Amino acid sequence: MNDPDVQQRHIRAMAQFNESAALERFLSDKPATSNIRRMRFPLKWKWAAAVLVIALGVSSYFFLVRQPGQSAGTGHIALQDIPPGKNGAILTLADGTQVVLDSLANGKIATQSGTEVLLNNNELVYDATAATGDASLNTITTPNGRQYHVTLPDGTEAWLNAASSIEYPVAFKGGERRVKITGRSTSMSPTEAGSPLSWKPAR
Amino acid sequence: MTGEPSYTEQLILRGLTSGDTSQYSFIFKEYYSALCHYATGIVREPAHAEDIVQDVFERLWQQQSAFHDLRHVKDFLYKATRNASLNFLKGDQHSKERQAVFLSEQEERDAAAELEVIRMEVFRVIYREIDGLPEQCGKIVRMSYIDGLKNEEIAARLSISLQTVKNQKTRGMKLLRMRLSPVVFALFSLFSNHP
Repeated sequence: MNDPDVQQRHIRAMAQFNESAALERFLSDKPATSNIRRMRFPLKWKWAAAVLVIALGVSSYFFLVRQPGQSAGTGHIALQDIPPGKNGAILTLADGTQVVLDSLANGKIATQSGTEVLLNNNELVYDATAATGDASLNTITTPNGRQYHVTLPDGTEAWLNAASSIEYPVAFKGGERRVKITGRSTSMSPTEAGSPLSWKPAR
Repeated sequence: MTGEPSYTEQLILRGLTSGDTSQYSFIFKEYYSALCHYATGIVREPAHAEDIVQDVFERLWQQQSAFHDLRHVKDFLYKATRNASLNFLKGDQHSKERQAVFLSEQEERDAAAELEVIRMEVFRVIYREIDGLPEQCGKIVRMSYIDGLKNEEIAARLSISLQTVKNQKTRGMKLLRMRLSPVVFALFSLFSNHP
Protein backbone atom coordinates (compact mmCIF):
# COMPACT_ATOMS: atom_id res chain seq x y z
CA MET A 1 0.00 0.00 0.00
CA ASN A 2 2.88 2.33 0.73
CA ASP A 3 4.79 1.71 -2.49
CA PRO A 4 4.42 4.73 -4.79
CA ASP A 5 4.95 2.58 -7.87
CA VAL A 6 2.08 0.33 -6.87
CA GLN A 7 -0.14 3.34 -6.33
CA GLN A 8 0.80 4.76 -9.66
CA ARG A 9 -0.03 1.50 -11.40
CA HIS A 10 -3.46 1.34 -9.81
CA ILE A 11 -4.28 4.95 -10.56
CA ARG A 12 -3.12 4.55 -14.14
CA ALA A 13 -5.35 1.51 -14.44
CA MET A 14 -8.32 3.54 -13.23
CA ALA A 15 -7.55 6.30 -15.67
CA GLN A 16 -7.95 4.02 -18.69
CA PHE A 17 -11.73 3.91 -18.15
CA ASN A 18 -13.76 6.66 -19.71
CA GLU A 19 -16.42 7.52 -17.17
CA SER A 20 -17.98 10.30 -19.25
CA ALA A 21 -18.70 8.01 -22.18
CA ALA A 22 -19.95 5.30 -19.87
CA LEU A 23 -22.19 7.81 -18.12
CA GLU A 24 -23.73 8.80 -21.45
CA ARG A 25 -24.43 5.16 -22.13
CA PHE A 26 -26.00 4.79 -18.68
CA LEU A 27 -28.20 7.86 -19.08
CA SER A 28 -29.22 7.10 -22.65
CA ASP A 29 -32.39 5.26 -21.66
CA LYS A 30 -33.24 7.29 -18.59
CA PRO A 31 -35.68 10.20 -18.53
CA ALA A 32 -33.88 13.47 -17.92
CA THR A 33 -35.86 14.64 -14.95
CA SER A 34 -37.58 11.50 -13.76
CA ASN A 35 -39.26 11.86 -10.40
CA ILE A 36 -37.23 14.87 -9.39
CA ARG A 37 -38.40 15.95 -5.98
CA ARG A 38 -40.59 18.93 -6.63
CA MET A 39 -38.85 22.13 -5.59
CA ARG A 40 -40.81 23.93 -2.95
CA PHE A 41 -40.11 27.27 -4.49
CA PRO A 42 -40.11 28.48 -8.07
CA LEU A 43 -36.70 28.59 -9.72
CA LYS A 44 -35.43 29.16 -13.20
CA TRP A 45 -33.88 25.92 -14.50
CA LYS A 46 -30.43 27.46 -14.94
CA TRP A 47 -30.37 28.77 -11.43
CA ALA A 48 -31.33 25.34 -10.08
CA ALA A 49 -28.52 23.79 -12.08
CA ALA A 50 -26.05 26.30 -10.65
CA VAL A 51 -27.14 25.54 -7.08
CA LEU A 52 -26.78 21.82 -7.78
CA VAL A 53 -23.31 22.27 -9.24
CA ILE A 54 -22.19 24.20 -6.18
CA ALA A 55 -23.72 21.67 -3.80
CA LEU A 56 -22.05 18.81 -5.67
CA GLY A 57 -18.73 20.63 -5.60
CA VAL A 58 -19.04 21.20 -1.87
CA SER A 59 -20.06 17.62 -1.21
CA SER A 60 -17.24 16.14 -3.26
CA TYR A 61 -14.80 18.20 -1.23
CA PHE A 62 -16.19 17.35 2.16
CA PHE A 63 -17.18 13.74 1.74
CA LEU A 64 -14.56 12.26 -0.44
CA VAL A 65 -11.40 13.83 0.77
CA ARG A 66 -10.60 15.77 3.89
CA GLN A 67 -12.48 14.36 6.87
CA PRO A 68 -14.06 17.12 8.94
CA GLY A 69 -12.95 15.51 12.19
CA GLN A 70 -9.29 15.91 11.34
CA SER A 71 -9.26 19.61 10.74
CA ALA A 72 -10.04 22.23 13.31
CA GLY A 73 -13.74 21.50 13.25
CA THR A 74 -14.83 23.24 10.09
CA GLY A 75 -17.88 21.05 9.62
CA HIS A 76 -19.57 24.32 8.84
CA ILE A 77 -21.47 23.99 5.62
CA ALA A 78 -21.89 27.39 4.10
CA LEU A 79 -24.83 29.17 2.56
CA GLN A 80 -24.62 27.19 -0.70
CA ASP A 81 -26.59 24.44 1.02
CA ILE A 82 -29.52 26.65 1.92
CA PRO A 83 -31.88 26.80 -1.04
CA PRO A 84 -32.22 30.39 -2.22
CA GLY A 85 -35.47 32.09 -1.38
CA LYS A 86 -36.25 29.80 1.56
CA ASN A 87 -36.49 31.26 5.04
CA GLY A 88 -35.87 28.28 7.26
CA ALA A 89 -34.99 28.08 10.89
CA ILE A 90 -31.37 27.03 11.11
CA LEU A 91 -30.00 24.64 13.71
CA THR A 92 -26.30 24.90 14.43
CA LEU A 93 -24.93 21.75 16.05
CA ALA A 94 -22.14 21.52 18.58
CA ASP A 95 -19.53 20.82 15.90
CA GLY A 96 -20.57 23.83 13.83
CA THR A 97 -22.59 21.92 11.23
CA GLN A 98 -25.62 23.87 10.13
CA VAL A 99 -28.91 22.29 9.19
CA VAL A 100 -31.92 23.96 7.61
CA LEU A 101 -34.73 22.55 9.72
CA ASP A 102 -37.57 23.14 7.29
CA SER A 103 -36.08 21.08 4.54
CA LEU A 104 -35.67 17.83 6.41
CA ALA A 105 -38.04 14.92 6.74
CA ASN A 106 -39.40 13.91 10.14
CA GLY A 107 -37.24 11.68 12.25
CA LYS A 108 -33.80 11.63 13.75
CA ILE A 109 -31.57 14.30 12.26
CA ALA A 110 -28.55 14.14 14.54
CA THR A 111 -27.02 12.59 17.62
CA GLN A 112 -24.79 14.51 19.97
CA SER A 113 -23.25 13.06 23.12
CA GLY A 114 -25.91 10.39 23.17
CA THR A 115 -28.76 12.86 22.94
CA GLU A 116 -30.92 12.30 19.90
CA VAL A 117 -32.21 15.24 17.93
CA LEU A 118 -35.55 14.52 16.28
CA LEU A 119 -37.64 16.55 13.93
CA ASN A 120 -41.38 16.13 14.31
CA ASN A 121 -43.57 18.25 12.04
CA ASN A 122 -41.41 21.33 12.26
CA GLU A 123 -40.79 20.95 15.93
CA LEU A 124 -37.37 20.07 17.20
CA VAL A 125 -37.31 17.50 19.98
CA TYR A 126 -34.32 16.47 22.04
CA ASP A 127 -34.34 13.04 23.59
CA ALA A 128 -31.75 12.80 26.32
CA THR A 129 -32.71 9.40 27.70
CA ALA A 130 -29.46 7.92 26.46
CA ALA A 131 -27.30 10.98 27.00
CA THR A 132 -23.70 10.30 27.80
CA GLY A 133 -21.84 13.52 27.32
CA ASP A 134 -21.50 16.97 28.63
CA ALA A 135 -23.35 20.11 27.79
CA SER A 136 -22.36 20.93 24.23
CA LEU A 137 -24.20 23.90 22.79
CA ASN A 138 -26.72 24.08 19.97
CA THR A 139 -28.20 27.20 18.45
CA ILE A 140 -31.44 27.76 16.63
CA THR A 141 -31.66 30.87 14.52
CA THR A 142 -34.93 32.12 13.08
CA PRO A 143 -35.12 34.52 10.18
CA ASN A 144 -37.69 37.26 9.75
CA GLY A 145 -41.23 36.03 9.73
CA ARG A 146 -40.44 32.58 11.04
CA GLN A 147 -41.10 31.32 14.55
CA TYR A 148 -39.89 28.05 15.88
CA HIS A 149 -40.95 25.63 18.56
CA VAL A 150 -38.40 23.43 20.29
CA THR A 151 -38.66 20.85 23.06
CA LEU A 152 -35.41 20.96 25.04
CA PRO A 153 -33.68 17.91 26.53
CA ASP A 154 -35.34 18.27 29.90
CA GLY A 155 -38.80 18.51 28.38
CA THR A 156 -39.13 22.27 28.57
CA GLU A 157 -40.85 23.75 25.56
CA ALA A 158 -39.64 27.00 24.12
CA TRP A 159 -41.15 29.16 21.40
CA LEU A 160 -38.65 31.29 19.63
CA ASN A 161 -39.91 34.45 17.95
CA ALA A 162 -38.91 35.63 14.51
CA ALA A 163 -35.44 37.03 13.85
CA SER A 164 -34.03 35.62 17.07
CA SER A 165 -31.67 32.95 18.18
CA ILE A 166 -31.47 30.72 21.19
CA GLU A 167 -28.33 28.96 22.30
CA TYR A 168 -28.81 26.11 24.72
CA PRO A 169 -26.91 23.10 26.00
CA VAL A 170 -27.84 19.78 24.49
CA ALA A 171 -27.99 18.33 27.99
CA PHE A 172 -28.90 20.52 30.92
CA LYS A 173 -26.70 20.03 33.96
CA GLY A 174 -27.72 20.70 37.50
CA GLY A 175 -30.91 22.49 38.41
CA GLU A 176 -30.46 25.72 36.51
CA ARG A 177 -31.70 26.01 32.95
CA ARG A 178 -29.56 28.67 31.42
CA VAL A 179 -29.90 29.63 27.77
CA LYS A 180 -28.69 32.51 25.65
CA ILE A 181 -31.30 34.49 23.73
CA THR A 182 -29.90 36.45 20.80
CA GLY A 183 -26.69 37.18 22.60
CA ARG A 184 -28.12 37.78 26.04
CA SER A 185 -27.98 35.12 28.70
CA THR A 186 -31.11 34.37 30.63
CA SER A 187 -32.52 31.85 33.02
CA MET A 188 -35.82 30.40 32.08
CA SER A 189 -38.07 31.95 34.61
CA PRO A 190 -41.55 33.10 33.56
CA THR A 191 -41.20 36.00 31.13
CA GLU A 192 -43.41 38.88 30.22
CA ALA A 193 -45.09 39.22 26.84
CA GLY A 194 -43.02 40.64 24.00
CA SER A 195 -39.74 39.05 25.03
CA PRO A 196 -38.01 36.94 22.38
CA LEU A 197 -38.61 33.71 24.25
CA SER A 198 -41.62 32.24 25.94
CA TRP A 199 -41.45 28.91 27.60
CA LYS A 200 -43.34 26.20 29.40
CA PRO A 201 -41.72 23.99 32.00
CA ALA A 202 -41.75 20.23 31.71
CA ARG A 203 -44.23 18.35 33.85
CA MET B 1 -16.70 11.58 10.95
CA THR B 2 -19.83 11.61 13.10
CA GLY B 3 -21.70 9.18 10.88
CA GLU B 4 -24.80 11.33 10.76
CA PRO B 5 -25.56 12.46 7.22
CA SER B 6 -25.49 16.21 6.82
CA TYR B 7 -27.66 18.30 4.59
CA THR B 8 -25.67 17.93 1.37
CA GLU B 9 -25.26 14.21 1.83
CA GLN B 10 -29.03 13.93 2.31
CA LEU B 11 -29.49 15.81 -0.94
CA ILE B 12 -27.52 13.14 -2.74
CA LEU B 13 -29.18 10.25 -0.93
CA ARG B 14 -32.66 11.49 -1.70
CA GLY B 15 -31.69 12.06 -5.30
CA LEU B 16 -30.66 8.42 -5.52
CA THR B 17 -34.04 7.25 -4.22
CA SER B 18 -36.06 9.58 -6.39
CA GLY B 19 -34.26 8.85 -9.65
CA ASP B 20 -32.57 12.19 -10.01
CA THR B 21 -30.18 11.81 -12.92
CA SER B 22 -27.96 14.64 -11.69
CA GLN B 23 -27.22 12.84 -8.45
CA TYR B 24 -26.73 9.57 -10.28
CA SER B 25 -24.31 11.25 -12.64
CA PHE B 26 -22.30 12.50 -9.70
CA ILE B 27 -22.06 9.08 -8.01
CA PHE B 28 -21.41 7.42 -11.36
CA LYS B 29 -18.50 9.67 -12.23
CA GLU B 30 -17.02 9.32 -8.77
CA TYR B 31 -17.01 5.54 -8.63
CA TYR B 32 -17.11 4.19 -12.17
CA SER B 33 -13.39 3.97 -12.91
CA ALA B 34 -12.46 2.65 -9.49
CA LEU B 35 -15.15 -0.04 -9.67
CA CYS B 36 -14.08 -1.05 -13.18
CA HIS B 37 -10.51 -1.39 -12.00
CA TYR B 38 -11.68 -3.39 -9.01
CA ALA B 39 -13.73 -5.71 -11.23
CA THR B 40 -10.86 -6.12 -13.69
CA GLY B 41 -8.84 -7.56 -10.82
CA ILE B 42 -11.33 -10.40 -10.71
CA VAL B 43 -12.50 -10.93 -14.28
CA ARG B 44 -9.30 -9.96 -16.04
CA GLU B 45 -10.86 -8.32 -19.14
CA PRO B 46 -11.54 -4.56 -18.79
CA ALA B 47 -14.39 -4.80 -21.29
CA HIS B 48 -16.17 -7.39 -19.15
CA ALA B 49 -15.51 -5.27 -16.09
CA GLU B 50 -17.20 -2.26 -17.71
CA ASP B 51 -20.30 -4.29 -18.55
CA ILE B 52 -20.44 -5.56 -14.99
CA VAL B 53 -20.15 -2.08 -13.50
CA GLN B 54 -22.79 -0.68 -15.87
CA ASP B 55 -25.03 -3.45 -14.61
CA VAL B 56 -24.33 -2.55 -10.99
CA PHE B 57 -25.32 1.06 -11.60
CA GLU B 58 -28.51 -0.12 -13.33
CA ARG B 59 -29.31 -2.05 -10.18
CA LEU B 60 -28.59 1.00 -8.07
CA TRP B 61 -31.01 2.92 -10.27
CA GLN B 62 -33.73 0.34 -9.74
CA GLN B 63 -33.11 0.11 -6.03
CA GLN B 64 -36.13 1.49 -4.24
CA SER B 65 -35.02 1.44 -0.62
CA ALA B 66 -33.13 4.44 0.66
CA PHE B 67 -29.52 4.40 1.79
CA HIS B 68 -28.69 5.69 5.25
CA ASP B 69 -25.50 7.47 4.25
CA LEU B 70 -22.94 7.65 1.46
CA ARG B 71 -20.84 4.99 3.09
CA HIS B 72 -23.78 2.63 2.77
CA VAL B 73 -23.96 3.47 -0.94
CA LYS B 74 -20.24 2.88 -1.36
CA ASP B 75 -20.42 -0.50 0.39
CA PHE B 76 -23.29 -1.50 -1.88
CA LEU B 77 -21.36 -0.54 -4.99
CA TYR B 78 -18.22 -2.45 -4.06
CA LYS B 79 -20.08 -5.53 -2.80
CA ALA B 80 -22.34 -5.68 -5.83
CA THR B 81 -19.37 -5.31 -8.15
CA ARG B 82 -17.49 -8.07 -6.41
CA ASN B 83 -20.43 -10.46 -6.43
CA ALA B 84 -21.24 -9.77 -10.05
CA SER B 85 -17.60 -10.30 -10.98
CA LEU B 86 -17.43 -13.63 -9.16
CA ASN B 87 -20.68 -14.73 -10.79
CA PHE B 88 -19.31 -13.74 -14.14
CA LEU B 89 -16.30 -15.97 -13.57
CA LYS B 90 -18.57 -18.88 -12.80
CA GLY B 91 -20.49 -18.41 -16.03
CA ASP B 92 -17.68 -17.54 -18.38
CA GLN B 93 -16.69 -20.45 -20.59
CA HIS B 94 -13.33 -19.10 -21.59
CA SER B 95 -11.78 -18.73 -18.21
CA LYS B 96 -12.20 -22.15 -16.68
CA GLU B 97 -8.57 -22.40 -15.70
CA ARG B 98 -8.41 -18.97 -14.15
CA GLN B 99 -11.71 -19.62 -12.47
CA ALA B 100 -10.47 -22.82 -10.88
CA VAL B 101 -7.40 -21.12 -9.49
CA PHE B 102 -9.38 -18.14 -8.27
CA LEU B 103 -12.17 -20.05 -6.60
CA SER B 104 -9.75 -22.29 -4.81
CA GLU B 105 -8.43 -19.24 -3.04
CA GLN B 106 -11.95 -18.04 -2.24
CA GLU B 107 -11.70 -18.18 1.53
CA GLU B 108 -8.58 -16.08 1.69
CA ARG B 109 -10.10 -13.59 -0.70
CA ASP B 110 -13.28 -13.12 1.32
CA ALA B 111 -11.26 -12.11 4.32
CA ALA B 112 -9.08 -9.82 2.27
CA ALA B 113 -12.00 -8.27 0.37
CA GLU B 114 -12.62 -5.50 2.87
CA LEU B 115 -8.99 -4.55 2.97
CA GLU B 116 -9.00 -4.49 -0.81
CA VAL B 117 -11.91 -2.08 -0.83
CA ILE B 118 -10.04 0.23 1.52
CA ARG B 119 -7.02 0.16 -0.78
CA MET B 120 -9.20 0.84 -3.80
CA GLU B 121 -10.78 3.79 -2.05
CA VAL B 122 -7.41 5.37 -1.34
CA PHE B 123 -6.41 5.07 -4.99
CA ARG B 124 -9.83 6.21 -6.14
CA VAL B 125 -9.74 9.38 -4.08
CA ILE B 126 -6.31 10.28 -5.39
CA TYR B 127 -7.43 9.57 -8.95
CA ARG B 128 -10.53 11.74 -8.59
CA GLU B 129 -8.60 14.61 -7.07
CA ILE B 130 -6.04 14.51 -9.87
CA ASP B 131 -8.95 14.53 -12.30
CA GLY B 132 -10.30 17.59 -10.58
CA LEU B 133 -7.15 19.70 -10.71
CA PRO B 134 -7.56 22.99 -12.57
CA GLU B 135 -6.88 23.30 -16.29
CA GLN B 136 -3.22 23.35 -17.23
CA CYS B 137 -2.03 22.17 -13.83
CA GLY B 138 -4.22 19.10 -14.07
CA LYS B 139 -3.24 18.43 -17.65
CA ILE B 140 0.46 18.51 -16.81
CA VAL B 141 0.06 16.37 -13.70
CA ARG B 142 -1.87 13.78 -15.71
CA MET B 143 0.67 13.78 -18.51
CA SER B 144 3.41 13.22 -15.98
CA TYR B 145 1.82 10.88 -13.47
CA ILE B 146 -0.65 8.94 -15.57
CA ASP B 147 0.81 9.01 -19.05
CA GLY B 148 4.35 8.77 -17.73
CA LEU B 149 5.85 11.53 -19.84
CA LYS B 150 9.11 13.20 -18.90
CA ASN B 151 9.11 16.91 -18.12
CA GLU B 152 10.91 17.71 -21.37
CA GLU B 153 8.34 15.80 -23.40
CA ILE B 154 5.49 17.62 -21.70
CA ALA B 155 7.14 20.97 -22.34
CA ALA B 156 7.59 20.09 -25.98
CA ARG B 157 4.04 18.84 -26.53
CA LEU B 158 2.41 21.83 -24.86
CA SER B 159 4.89 24.37 -26.21
CA ILE B 160 5.71 25.74 -22.81
CA SER B 161 8.93 26.11 -20.86
CA LEU B 162 10.42 23.38 -18.74
CA GLN B 163 10.20 25.65 -15.73
CA THR B 164 6.46 26.07 -16.24
CA VAL B 165 6.05 22.31 -16.23
CA LYS B 166 7.95 22.02 -12.96
CA ASN B 167 6.00 24.89 -11.43
CA GLN B 168 2.67 23.37 -12.37
CA LYS B 169 3.68 20.03 -10.91
CA THR B 170 4.63 21.75 -7.67
CA ARG B 171 1.35 23.59 -7.70
CA GLY B 172 -0.48 20.32 -8.27
CA MET B 173 1.22 18.79 -5.27
CA LYS B 174 0.23 21.75 -3.11
CA LEU B 175 -3.41 21.50 -4.20
CA LEU B 176 -3.50 17.77 -3.64
CA ARG B 177 -1.98 18.15 -0.19
CA MET B 178 -4.77 20.63 0.64
CA ARG B 179 -7.52 18.49 -0.75
CA LEU B 180 -6.48 15.03 0.35
CA SER B 181 -6.66 13.98 3.96
CA PRO B 182 -3.16 13.85 5.48
CA VAL B 183 -3.17 10.05 5.64
CA VAL B 184 -3.95 9.67 1.96
CA PHE B 185 -1.52 12.37 0.93
CA ALA B 186 1.28 10.75 2.86
CA LEU B 187 0.84 7.66 0.71
CA PHE B 188 1.04 9.59 -2.52
CA SER B 189 4.00 11.13 -4.20
CA LEU B 190 3.78 12.84 -7.53
CA PHE B 191 7.52 12.91 -7.83
CA SER B 192 8.18 9.29 -7.04
CA ASN B 193 9.76 8.50 -10.38
CA HIS B 194 10.54 11.80 -12.01
CA PRO B 195 12.48 14.63 -10.41
